[in-house]
Amino acid sequence: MTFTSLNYLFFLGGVGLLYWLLPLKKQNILLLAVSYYFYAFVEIKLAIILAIYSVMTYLFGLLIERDRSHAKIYLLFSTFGAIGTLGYFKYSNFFISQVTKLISGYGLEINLATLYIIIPIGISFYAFQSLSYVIDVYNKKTNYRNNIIDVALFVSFFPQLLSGPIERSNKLLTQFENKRTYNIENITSGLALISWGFFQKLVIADNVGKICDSIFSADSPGFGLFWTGVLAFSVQIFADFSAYTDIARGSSRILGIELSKNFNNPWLSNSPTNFWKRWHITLSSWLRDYVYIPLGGNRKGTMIAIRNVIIVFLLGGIWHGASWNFVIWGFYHAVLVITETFVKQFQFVLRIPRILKVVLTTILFMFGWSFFRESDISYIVNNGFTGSPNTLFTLHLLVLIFIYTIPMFVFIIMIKKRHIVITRFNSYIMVILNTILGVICVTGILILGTTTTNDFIYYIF
Amino acid sequence: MKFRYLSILTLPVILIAYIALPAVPSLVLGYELEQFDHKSIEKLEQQNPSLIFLGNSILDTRIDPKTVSEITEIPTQSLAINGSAPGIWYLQLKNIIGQTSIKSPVVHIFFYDNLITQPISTTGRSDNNLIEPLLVYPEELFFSISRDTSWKDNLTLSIYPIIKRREEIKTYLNQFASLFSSIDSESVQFKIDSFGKRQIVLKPNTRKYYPFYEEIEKSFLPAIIQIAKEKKIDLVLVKTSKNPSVSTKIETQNLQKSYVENLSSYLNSNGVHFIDMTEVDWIDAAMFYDSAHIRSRYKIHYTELFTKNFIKNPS
Repeated sequence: MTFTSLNYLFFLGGVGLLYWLLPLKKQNILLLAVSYYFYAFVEIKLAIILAIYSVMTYLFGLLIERDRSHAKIYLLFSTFGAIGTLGYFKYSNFFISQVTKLISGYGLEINLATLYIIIPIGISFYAFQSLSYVIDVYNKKTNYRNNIIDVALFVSFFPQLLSGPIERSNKLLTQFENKRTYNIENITSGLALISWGFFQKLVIADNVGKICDSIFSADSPGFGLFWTGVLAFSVQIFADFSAYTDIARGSSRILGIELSKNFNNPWLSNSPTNFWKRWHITLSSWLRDYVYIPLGGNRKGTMIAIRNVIIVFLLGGIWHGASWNFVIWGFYHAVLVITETFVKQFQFVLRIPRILKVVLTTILFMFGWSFFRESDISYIVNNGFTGSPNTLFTLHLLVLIFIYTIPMFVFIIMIKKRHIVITRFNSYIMVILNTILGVICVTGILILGTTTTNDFIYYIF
Repeated sequence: MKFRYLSILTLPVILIAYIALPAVPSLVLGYELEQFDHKSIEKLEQQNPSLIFLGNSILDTRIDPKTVSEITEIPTQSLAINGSAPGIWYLQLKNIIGQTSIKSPVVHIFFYDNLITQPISTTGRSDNNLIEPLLVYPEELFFSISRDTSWKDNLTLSIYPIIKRREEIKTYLNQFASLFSSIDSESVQFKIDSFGKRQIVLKPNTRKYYPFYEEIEKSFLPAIIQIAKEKKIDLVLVKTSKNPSVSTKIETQNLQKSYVENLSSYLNSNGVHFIDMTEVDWIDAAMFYDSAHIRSRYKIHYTELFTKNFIKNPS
């Protein structure tokens, strides 16, 4: 059941109706049951892995709390279990293929069969989320929870199960424990957010994605079209991922639960560090809190800080997929962040106008997206810097991309001015405004949506 | 408390607004069914081909009708429609080829996997722009077989018929872009294709195969054979090969084999010639850009080999 289907809307409507009729304890049981039902739609067998993760998360939290003297051992077991399982599913075939290449490089014949492994969808997200709970219990940043239903729901809550946001127990688990109240303003703003998510996916991401796919399917598009394709991809991936997050947040808000924001207008970033505070915020902050800071952050001198930045970004790269292009992508971003820390010590950097910084950051990140979109590095080298510019055709596609991107800029302006609206109008006006926004999005989808939709890009991560 | 009751009552009103208001543009702009395209009959009549090819992009990337004509010295035409499936081929056979005065044409239908026994008209989501110009109403048989749209799709289309005009509206956007680029909006896709297709990473074949005789009863194939007999059309079905590099599980391979055996005997018993290209040795992975389509640089080569092996020497 994909998020952008009528089936999902019927599912959410049914769940919402039943949910608000039930008392708190039963609400959580219902959410857990429907979360597994939702996940079983993808592949029923894979729900077992989700269940194992849930039970392990609960048990290790319990063991750490009850037996503090051996807490470190439990934490290690939990970490190796979560990361090991993730590694087996995501990286086994990559590892086998690399070993085969390495051995055959020495002239030895080896035939290691690749494994028929189905990667459990969303495992990268729920593995990190469950691990955060156990680490937080170990660090006494959160209380261990005795209620297995709540912990299992924290690992498997359906709106954010497949592609995040990666939540922390202090935020999400606490909400599961507290009473939620029905509020029409939340319902309408949830519906508006879902409609905007549908719009971003079906109108912006899928239409721009078609342009991107056409360009990247060409044998030798030339550098003009190649970079147009990369620009199209940077629009597509943002609209696609932001769409998923908004549908997740909207669905959750309808159920009275607030999920974290994953984006904060990344198009307005004025530096690499600033970009990572605005893009996939929950993953960036996870890596900062559970990898970068425990490794020493920037407290142990420049060289250690550089090492830590490289480790964090390589990990972030490989988290996205088992492929060298993601490793290169991660390393590229590490270089950008490290360079920024050195460059910003110069006075002239402070005098550069903000708009110029935004443009420069966008160009640098666009270059990075080429590694993200394309696994064949020779294709990037051959087409990114050589061949024909195809000026007129490039211009044609750039105009089309721009047209599809206009609603995103309108939305950015609306969000910026939102606080004025909220403070000026009462609840009922907000209900009406949210409904108008939602209706405009639905109408836009009917007129400009794609006939066939692709899966969300982040599903494969 | 008062607010809560009020808000519960407000919810149905909001939901109705979500359903009703987006239907307004449909009322304003409307949608009229596209009429049957009589010109396609006249055009084919003028061309008067003795060899006709039907199929989708699988055919379009494989067969160049001019090359076939040159080799065989037989007038040849391809009526390939990208994204088409048996429902459309049935309509083309009945309402276009069958309506011409061409004497006993030989019609080759190109398909892959088990598409020929699928009760669908398009390989992707149902596309009215492809189907409507081929319909001569009431088309009872076509609509009784076609499983292109679910009841949910039909309901959505009847409330919001503007969905059917999506592609038309998008051509306006293309035309707007043309103002800046002076590139003809209709040639955009052609322009992209002219850069050639690169080979993509292949996914394993996970297609489902159901028992043949269950599929055949629900499919367009019996109707296609019937029309061919009525209109005295010499029908040839061509099952194309997939990219040999696509990995297929043993169980699926066995299901495929039994499917081809059953299809072959069914066609034989109905007097239809069947060409199974799955085991042809001159097709290799380098010719494909994905699991099923041939790269443009191999189109002429493929056409020549196909024509010499299967048209000039049909045995």
